[in-house]
Amino acid sequence: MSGRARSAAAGAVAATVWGLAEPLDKRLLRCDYSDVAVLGKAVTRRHWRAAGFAIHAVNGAIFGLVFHELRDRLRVDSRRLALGLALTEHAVLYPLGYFVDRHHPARGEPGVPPLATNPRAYVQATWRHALFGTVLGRLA
Amino acid sequence: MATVLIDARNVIRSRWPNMPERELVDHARAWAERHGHHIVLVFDGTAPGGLVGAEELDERTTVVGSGAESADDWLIRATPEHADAWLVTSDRALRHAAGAARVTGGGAFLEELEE
Repeated sequence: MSGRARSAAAGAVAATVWGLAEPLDKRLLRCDYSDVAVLGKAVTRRHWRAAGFAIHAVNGAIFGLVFHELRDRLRVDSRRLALGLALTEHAVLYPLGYFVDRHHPARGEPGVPPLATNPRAYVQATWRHALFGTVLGRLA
Repeated sequence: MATVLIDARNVIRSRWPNMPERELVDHARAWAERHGHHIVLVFDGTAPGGLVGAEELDERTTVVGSGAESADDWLIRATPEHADAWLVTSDRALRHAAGAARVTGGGAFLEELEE
């Protein structure tokens, strides 16, 4: 397997681990925010879970490819880079929750709570990105 | 006067922190009285107090626990029975399926309750 394919696969696996870990932080933080639900319910209501996992895995694979390219150029510790990139993405993209709150087709439904004003969801997203970056850094 | 059908748990989840169920019922009841509407608060499964089925709290307010049926299915079934139906939910799939004459999002409705 080429380095690029390995990074993409690692990203997909890390995103799947993220999805599987969601029930844990949902229970700990008592907030039902789920990225699998946010993604899946944006495209379908009947098979949202499968769709959500699939979209999330594709996103993870794309992230893995970006990680691969940067790793070649930056020459920094691979695991630190993966974690740093994941947390940077989180910090940059979390404000887009504003649009989820206003335009998501299933907002208010299970798994799609308000995000922009929700500190628990922010903590969940931080932990999930850290988990993703850690797994990606180990596997890629 | 309109019949306002409220997807209660969707409205509750429209704000963080979530509005407690009882508080939603109380606010909605006062709002119905102020505006002269009949409201039906539909909760998925059980309504506050463990209610399954429909209970009239007063002449303007009915609370429903949908039981084994989902609140969405209950609302899709009930909305066409009211020509003046006003549906409150942010769930786009439910909005399309129910076909109410008027629709308001959960967050906007909460703001209206607190005016």
